This record gives sequence, structure tokens and C-alpha cells, in this order.
Amino acid sequence: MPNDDAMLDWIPQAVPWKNFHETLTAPIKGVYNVWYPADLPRYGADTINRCTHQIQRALTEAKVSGITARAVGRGWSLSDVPATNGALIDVSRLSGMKPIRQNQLDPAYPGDADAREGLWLIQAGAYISEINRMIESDRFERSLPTSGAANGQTIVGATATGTHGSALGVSALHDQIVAIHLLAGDSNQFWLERASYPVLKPSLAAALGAAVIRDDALFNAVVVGLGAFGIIHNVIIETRPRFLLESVNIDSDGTGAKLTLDAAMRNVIETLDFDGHPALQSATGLQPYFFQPIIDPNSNPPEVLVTLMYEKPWTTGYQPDYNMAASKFGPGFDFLSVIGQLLDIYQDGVPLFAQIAIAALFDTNSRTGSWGEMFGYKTPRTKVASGTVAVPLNRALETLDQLIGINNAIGPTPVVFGCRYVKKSPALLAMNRFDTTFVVSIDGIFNNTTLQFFDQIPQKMEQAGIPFTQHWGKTNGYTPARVQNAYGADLTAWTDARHQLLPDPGDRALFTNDYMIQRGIDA
Amino acid sequence: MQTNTPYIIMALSLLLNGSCASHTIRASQFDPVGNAGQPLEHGTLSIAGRAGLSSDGTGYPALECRGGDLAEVEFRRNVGQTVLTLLTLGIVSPATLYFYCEKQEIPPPCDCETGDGL
Ligand SMILES: Cc1cc2nc3c(=O)[nH]c(=O)nc-3n(C[C@H](O)[C@H](O)[C@H](O)COP(=O)(O)OP(=O)(O)OC[C@H]3O[C@@H](n4cnc5c(N)ncnc54)[C@H](O)[C@@H]3O)c2cc1C
Repeated sequence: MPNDDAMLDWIPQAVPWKNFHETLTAPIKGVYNVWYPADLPRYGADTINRCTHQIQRALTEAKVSGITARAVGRGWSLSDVPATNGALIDVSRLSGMKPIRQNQLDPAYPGDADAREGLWLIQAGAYISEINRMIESDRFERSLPTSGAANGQTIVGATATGTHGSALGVSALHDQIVAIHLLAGDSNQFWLERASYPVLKPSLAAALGAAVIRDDALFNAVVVGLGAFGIIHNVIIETRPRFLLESVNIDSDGTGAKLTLDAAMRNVIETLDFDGHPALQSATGLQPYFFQPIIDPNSNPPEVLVTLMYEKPWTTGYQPDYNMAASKFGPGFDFLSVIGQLLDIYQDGVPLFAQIAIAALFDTNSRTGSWGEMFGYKTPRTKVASGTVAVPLNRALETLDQLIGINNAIGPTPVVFGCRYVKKSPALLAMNRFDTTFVVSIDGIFNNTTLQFFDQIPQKMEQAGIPFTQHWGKTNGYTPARVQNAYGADLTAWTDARHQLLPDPGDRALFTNDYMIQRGIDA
Repeated sequence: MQTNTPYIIMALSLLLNGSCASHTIRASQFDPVGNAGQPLEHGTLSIAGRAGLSSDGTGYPALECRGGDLAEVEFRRNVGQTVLTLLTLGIVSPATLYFYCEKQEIPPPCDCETGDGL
């Protein structure tokens, strides 16, 4: 066994930790960086065991020092879900990936012949962009069926908070995970699958020293686990055959008039019946694979920009280009913070700024590319704000009206509303818990007005009697009562699962942070 | 007087922020890693300009990347650093470098495995 001590780096930190977008801080003690073995072995059981040992070493050290610990991915969350007062364990260098072979599958695996070809074992720190590049290659010919609208998160960081996209009839990223390798503290390891969906031969998990548990409730708890169950080291995901998308962005109708939130658009948003809108119906009669209307609440009537993506077969010889295009003259690092401050003082400038930003960012040319090419992964480290509200599809229009109402009352607010559609998930704390979950992603500039806007969302939803959830990884107004209202018995099952997998109160405390305490999910 | 306050704040804010600088260079395709999402940070000082001395000598070796590549480097100068540069007529000129390393390249999966072990 090589001496792997150098795989673990402790970097003490005297100043507060900042998330990637520098919108929140936490007074951490330091960061454990976990490195892939320097001799760069292939990813497999031996390598996994070497990395597991280092992660558990970090957990032991944190326990001995009496501090809390928590895994961190890219730190992209805009809520303080990854924050801790103790040690952050950065697993983002652990990017092993390999396809699962047929002879490794449990004979009871329920996937069809295609699914059997598309299972991948992935280490926690792999970025979604890395996964896309690997699986979309000519060698493997697979695609992710969905992901977020940006691709820079780690696979486990993204799924731990419920990251989703807007592929119609498809659920969220976490719903592609079918097996989880969990380090539940510094000595226990579990290999979790659903009893209703066995995947790997149990002997394989045994090679990792992990106890195999096949249990639907435990799996459904850990898969959107918010970092509260320990460190997820590896997962198995299902993929689909690779495909291309033709993306069209539409901002006006055939006469050149801007699309607005008129009766026809409201009907599409609520029913997904594209034939009911002359500008959105497809000439070929195809249903879109992806649909995202973006509403500008600061125009009157609210203008709508629509992105539609249609699935196309992969063309032989097509080579995706994941390179970043050369930047044009554009915003610098702190541009948005300054604009945010200015717009707080001079609110009347918001609609004009929104129009300028939209004109610069919304490209109405159509383009074709792979899933991995469609969504960027090189987001600049500017101060952005993002919050969400998710509701059953049949409450979509009321929700939009509530949000527009808030903007009319306190705005103009420098945000737009991105509408997304996500199929229901069995994960206990998934935001996508309604049959078709309609998610409004409220994105814009981080300033006081925007924060005030986010504050008002839960109250307005409660007053209107609309059941709702919010994204765990974005600004949310969850209180213990609201989490209880949203998740009810599923929250109890989630807490029970934590007690089962982390029976020692010391281990539960190790992975508890203020975010959990403030939301009453720390029991 | 009161009604002018926002404009004065706006002007000051623009002035102060405008005196800072930020320049970034990135690999065109990258998988950057820092320190729990934060960039790695290095303070640097130039004395007497290009022909003078630099606190990094001929260049700062990013040992944090353990011999790996750099994915992104941002040069930033904040208000305090700008003021010091102005006060010393450019003789003393501090700045901060923020950088991310490129992830180590892990060997891709091979077709060499046939057994049913992981
Ligand atoms: C530019 C941008 C675009 C975004 N787009 C979308 C979008 O389209 N759709 C969407 O739904 N969301 C989106 N988000 C939100 C983002 O996807 C989530 O916040 C996601 O959780 C961030 O992933 P990360 O790897 O940075 O994880 P982090 O923010 O580092 O961590 C998130 C949580 O995961 C836990 N965690 C991380 N790694 C592990 C591990 N190995 N084991 C156990 N727990 C772990 C952490 O403890 C924390 O609780 C976006 C965010 C940004 C900044």
C-alpha cells in the first residue's frame, strides 16, 4: 500500500469561506483538499479504497478536533447549504469515471437492454461538464438525459440539493442516480440501492468494504441528502444514447411583435400545448425536448423569451466543441455588484438595464449541438442572485401572477423568471415532488431589492394557498414550519433514515450545519 | 441636499470601483479546482515598475497545483492597492492574483478489464 498521506491537504483558513459567487460567507476553520492518487492509477476498487481512506482520515481528524465537517463540491450553491463552522472537505479533485460492464450487474437489474449499456460509476467530484465530455465521445456514445442549465457543478454537489433542468417529461439529475457509495462517518461505509431497483452484484460493493443496503426509503433519503448523511464518494448513474438538440430562441411572433405573457402564452405555460401558440408550434409537428420561457416582469405587459430544443439523432462524424468562444467586450468581475448597488439606489433604471442585458444575452439564432454543448460551464464569478419556487403545474399561472404582484409592489427588481418543468421524483426531499413540477427560477442581480423579493415569495404563496417547495441550493425562505408543510411524512422518513445510517449522535452532529438547524432538519 | 445623496453615492461608488482593475485569462477548455470553490490567492508587489523588483522574482510558482497546469488566473487590484500605487507615484504597486488549477488528468477507462470486479 503506497504512502498516501499527501493525498490529504489541510489548509487552515482565518478569513470566512466564500461560496463561488461570493454572495455568502461562513467562518470555517479550514479546508481538507482530497487529491486523486499522484501515481494516477485507473479508477477502480483499489483507487476508490485509497481515496476513501483519505476522506475518512479527514473525518477522524475533524472528530478528534471536535469540529463539524461537510463535503463541498464547486461551492456553486447560492444558499449556505454547504457552509459549516468546522472543516470543508473538498472532493472536487476526485473525478474517476468508468462504465459498468454487463457482467457486473445484478441479474435482477430492471433496466432494459439500452439501460444496461449506459450505467456509469462516477466519483463524487466529477463535474457535469467532465461527464458530458467523457460519455458523449465517439467511444461511449451516451448522453445525460438532463442536467442544470449550467454544467460546472460536481455530480454529487448538484444532486445533493436537487439540481434540475427543463427537459419535458424527464425528472431531475438526482433521479438518474441508481446506486450510492456513502461514507457515513469515519468508519462506516454503505453501498445503497433501492430494493425495488437492484443494480450491482453485491460482491462488488464488498470489495470497497461497504455494507450493501437495498432499501427504497434509505436510498430516497440519501440521494437528495444535503450533505447531512456524510460524504458520498461514488454513484452509479443511468445515461441514454447520445443525441443532438436543435435549439431555437424566440422573442417575437411572425409580425415582429414581442412575445408577451398573453392568453396564448399563458395557455402554453400551463398546458404545454404548443399548437395553441402560433409562434411556438413546430412546423414539423415535433414536441420539444426542452422548453424554457423566460419572463421579464419589468416590462409591461411582461415580455417572454422562449427557448425550445428539439431532439435530433446524432450525426455520424459530429464532433462537439466544448471550447469557450473568445469573450467580447463585456462585464468585468465586479460589474454586477456595482450595478446591483446602483439599481438599489436608482430603481427606475431596472427596466432599462434588463432590456440591455436581455438584448446582449439572448441570441435568436438557432444552433445545433450535443446536450453537453448546449449548457455553459464557465460561469464567471460575478455576484448573481438566484431563488426558486416550485409548484404543481396546475398552479403555474397563479404563481407567476403572485411573483409579478411582488415585483409590482416592491420593484422594479433586477430579475427575470425562468420557467422550467420537471417530472416527479421519489427522493424524499426533492423539490420536484409534484407530478409535473413547475419551477420558476428567479435569477438576476444580487442586491437588497432582490433579497427582499426572495423574502416575500413564501409568504405570498402561503397567503394564496399554493403548495410549494424551494431549491435547497439557492436562496430560499424555508423555516421549520415551511419544510414541514412542504414535505410532511417524507421529512420524518428522511430524519429516520439519518438516524438509521448515522446511529451515533456524534456522527449526526458532525454533519449538521446552521442551515439545517435553521430549517429544523437537524434532528 | 437630501435628494442629491443617491447621486453622490453613485458617483463615489463608480469612482472607487472604477479605480480597481481585474484581468482574467482562462484555458479555453478547463476543469478548474481551487480551495472549496474559492480561488487560490497570492499577494504580489512590484517596486519601481517593470525595470525594478517584484516580490515574486521572476514569477510565482503555483505550487498549490502540485505541478499541474493553471486553469484560470485573475489579476486584481482593489481600492487600497490602487491608492497606495497612486500615493507612491507607481513606485510601490501591490496587486492580488487569484487562480484556479486545472484538474489532474485521470486515465480514461480502459477496455482491459474483463472480470466482474470493480
Ligand atoms: C451558475 C449557476 C447555475 C445554476 N444552474 C442551476 C440549474 O440550472 N438548475 C438547478 O437546479 N440549480 C442550478 N444551480 C444551483 C446548483 O446546481 C446547486 O447549488 C448545486 O448544489 C451546486 O453544486 P456544487 O457541486 O457546487 O455543490 P456545493 O454547492 O459545493 O454543495 C451543495 C451541497 O452538496 C453537498 N455535497 C457536495 N459534495 C458532496 C458529497 N461528495 N457528499 C455529500 N454531500 C456533498 C454539500 O455539503 C452541500 O450541502 C446553479 C448554480 C449556479 C452558480
